[in-house]
Amino acid sequence: MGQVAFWSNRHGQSGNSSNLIAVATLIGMEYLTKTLVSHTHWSMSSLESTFLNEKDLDSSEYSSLGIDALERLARSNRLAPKIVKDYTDTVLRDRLELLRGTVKPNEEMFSMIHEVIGSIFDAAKNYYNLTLIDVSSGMRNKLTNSVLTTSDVIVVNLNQNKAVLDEFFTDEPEFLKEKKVVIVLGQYDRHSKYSVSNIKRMYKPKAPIYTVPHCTGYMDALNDKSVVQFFFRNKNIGIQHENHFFLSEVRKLAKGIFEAAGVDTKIYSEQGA
Amino acid sequence: MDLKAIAVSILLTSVVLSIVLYIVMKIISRRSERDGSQEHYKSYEMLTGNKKSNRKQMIHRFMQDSYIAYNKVPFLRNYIQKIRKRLQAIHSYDEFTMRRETMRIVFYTLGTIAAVVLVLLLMNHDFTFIFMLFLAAIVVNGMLIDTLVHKVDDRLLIQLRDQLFKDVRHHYHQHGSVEEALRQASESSSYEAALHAKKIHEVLVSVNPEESLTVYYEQAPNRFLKAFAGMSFLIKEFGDKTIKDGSLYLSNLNKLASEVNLEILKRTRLNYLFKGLTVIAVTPIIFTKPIELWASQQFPAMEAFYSSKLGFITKIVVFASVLLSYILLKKMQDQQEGTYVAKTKKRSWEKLLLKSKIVSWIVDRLEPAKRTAQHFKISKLIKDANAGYPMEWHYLHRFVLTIILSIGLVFSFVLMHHIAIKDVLESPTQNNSMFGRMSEEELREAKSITDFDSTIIKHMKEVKDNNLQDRVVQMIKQDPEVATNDTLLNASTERILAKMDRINSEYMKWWEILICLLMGWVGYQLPYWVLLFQKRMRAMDMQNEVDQFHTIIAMLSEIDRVSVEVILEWMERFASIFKAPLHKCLMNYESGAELALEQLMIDAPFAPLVRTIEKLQLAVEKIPVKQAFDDLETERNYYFEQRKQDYEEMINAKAGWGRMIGFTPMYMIIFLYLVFPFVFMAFTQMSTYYELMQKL
Repeated sequence: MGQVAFWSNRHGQSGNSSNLIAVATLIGMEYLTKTLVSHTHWSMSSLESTFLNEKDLDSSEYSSLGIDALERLARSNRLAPKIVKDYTDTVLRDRLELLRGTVKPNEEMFSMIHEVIGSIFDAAKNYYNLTLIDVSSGMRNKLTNSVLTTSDVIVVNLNQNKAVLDEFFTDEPEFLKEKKVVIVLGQYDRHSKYSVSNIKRMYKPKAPIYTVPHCTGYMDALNDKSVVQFFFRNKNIGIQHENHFFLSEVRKLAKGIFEAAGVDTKIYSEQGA
Repeated sequence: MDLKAIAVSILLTSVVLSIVLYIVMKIISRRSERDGSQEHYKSYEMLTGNKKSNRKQMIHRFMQDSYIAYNKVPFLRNYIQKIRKRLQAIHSYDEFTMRRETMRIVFYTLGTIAAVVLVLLLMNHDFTFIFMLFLAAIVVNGMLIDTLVHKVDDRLLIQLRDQLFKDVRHHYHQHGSVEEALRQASESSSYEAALHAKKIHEVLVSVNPEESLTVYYEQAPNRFLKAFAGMSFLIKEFGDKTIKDGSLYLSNLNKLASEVNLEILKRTRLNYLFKGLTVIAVTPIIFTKPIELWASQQFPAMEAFYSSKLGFITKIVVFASVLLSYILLKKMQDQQEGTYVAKTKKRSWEKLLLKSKIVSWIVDRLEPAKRTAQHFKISKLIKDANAGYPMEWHYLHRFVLTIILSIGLVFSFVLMHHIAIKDVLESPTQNNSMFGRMSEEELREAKSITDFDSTIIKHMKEVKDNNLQDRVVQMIKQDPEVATNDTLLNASTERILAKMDRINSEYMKWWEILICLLMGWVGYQLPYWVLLFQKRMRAMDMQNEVDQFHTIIAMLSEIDRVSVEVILEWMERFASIFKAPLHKCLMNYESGAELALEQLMIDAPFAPLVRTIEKLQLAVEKIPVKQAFDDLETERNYYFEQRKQDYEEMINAKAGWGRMIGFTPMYMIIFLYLVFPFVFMAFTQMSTYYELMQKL
């Protein structure tokens, strides 16, 4: 189906990883797809620290799992789509899996991966229905660029900071021209002057805009490594509940991503067609 | 309120509370079932993994982690890799299963060995015993690995017979296509066989099937799977045909199944016969020490025997017999036939040794010169035995074995003499007329006499023979106690002189040198004998391979438009022993089929194969292929019966020999360690008695 890259133009502003975690968990919970979540940061990303418990994290000192192992396979031409599954951690059984990032000691060593990253995610694409990749922000990174060029959909993470919005909309990056783009506002506050409708009116973007609202419960869940439990707890809450707005917005975003990838969501949703 | 009352009250309250809590839980769960949130919990559990499989997962994780941890330890690494290689030859597991299975075997073996060693070490600990333990550990280790790996091997065969072939047959009837049948069978078969079926299916549907088939041939664990893959491929390529007993594919599958049956029967019978024999052969090692202790407690005279030169020899002989019988039993039980592939080790000790100029020079002297009959004979033997190493290695083996055996024997003889001398100088001097255990005082006295003697002997070492006696007497007279007593003086002099004689007689005898040389010769001949033995073993493999050729030819000859060249190509693809000559024949085929086939007969002088090649020669020009091979069916039946007969004979022979060899160490230990010392001691003491009687 597709490879989706989560990208942002500014580092650490718009909650790139936390948006990805929210969407991925929701897709795993409510859609019958095989989804892979991964990232290409060199340092420890928040993906591992939220999805995996301490014990699993400790066992990652050797690179028998994750992107390093796949890189070795790819370099020795032994990478096959069905092998990828052996090197991932299961978050939700048969639905959502996490491919760990690198454990290499320095960044130069890891940056060599951009030669084979294409074939790694290609193999993943052939096994999983959906691959969500968290890439580093900005455009000066070879690795980020090589992932972005192979992706089918690019989710651009922005926020309600006017400087960030201006920067993005005044000179839109070249590589977004021929891609399917979805814009997401992270840490969204609906009472702000810069609401979605106002932003749409100001900038007139071609891409659809979705949001991931700021939500206290979700923030705590991220810190407590209980994101999956949080989503299951709040799966069927009513409209009065404080987390309802967050859930419904994330649902919209998931649907939007599927639509951008050209997938009929009815086939895959848990409720059936 | 005493303690008891408190405990009772706590018990009662906890019981009541637990009942209440249970009721509350039931109420909550029913309510959640009614309003649909139960579904919710179920889906959550389903997705995040339930608790039941946690233990399994823990074990799995532990195995994976320990595999990686063990691989960091230098000595263990080789051990693990060795086991893994053996497993890899049999199964096409994926990486994680492979690691788990390997670790399982490693834990089994190491655990058992550790337990055995600990138990035995608790029993007693002296130097010889530790050596014995080491031996026993090696033996048990090899045995365990063999049995575990063989078990896996047998399991695969049984799965082939019971499931895979039947499934393939069933689905083939349903679909009429080989690929589909294999795919379906791979989904319904049990794990190991299913993996192989999947592999063969992948071969059939791959882009370049011929190439991937060759790759599979190299990985196939036994000849049955090889044949199965070849058959399936042929049928897929050329289509099935109806012959007089139904479909060509299915009838051949039948034959293959009956061959598998034969193999399984052979193995089960051998296993049954050899089940306890190895253990029986090895157990005497454990009993050496207890027997020694018991005997020396009951009959103190026996202790002298065990600590003497003769005792040492018997010990060595018992050890050697145990080791030898174990190795022989293992070799006899070995069922690796037809799976032999010439191994090339990256770092062989032979290469390292041959790097040194001296060794290579010696080996070069030993080797027969080129173009001599001897050279030709040995090189042919190495080829026939499929040893897979060059001639100089063979001679290096001979040289090294010679050195080891002869030097080892010289060393042990020297050690024996040393022990005897030490015995004379240090063991308490006994009166010959005494029986039973010495009391404390007597022992002390004997010890003092020994010390006294030893000092004198040490002084006398450089003295010439002619005035030895006088000198000894003078030395003794220095002791005031002995000097005044004439009889004691005489006795002491005699005793010391006797001791000196015994010490002086402990040197390397000419016959000991002779024995060393003889053993050296045996060591020199040993590799040659091993090669001869291997050559005989290969004959069986060759017969197997020719049978497989017949299977393939039987299928190919049914196909229209088949040519001799195609048949040869197929044979070459399938061969392992006759690969080189067949390849040469195919290369020369263009320049004249007749001549090429003639050359093949010269290159591979194995009677059944030669007959087959003669038929091929006829089929080149004179008659159609089908006609040339119209008696193949009877031929195959005959060979099948013959193999049955061979197996029967082999099993009977092996059973007889195995029993004999297996029980040898037991007899050895009883006779050499108990009966013989008894008799020996009895006779020596009887003779001393007689002497005393005559003196009265």
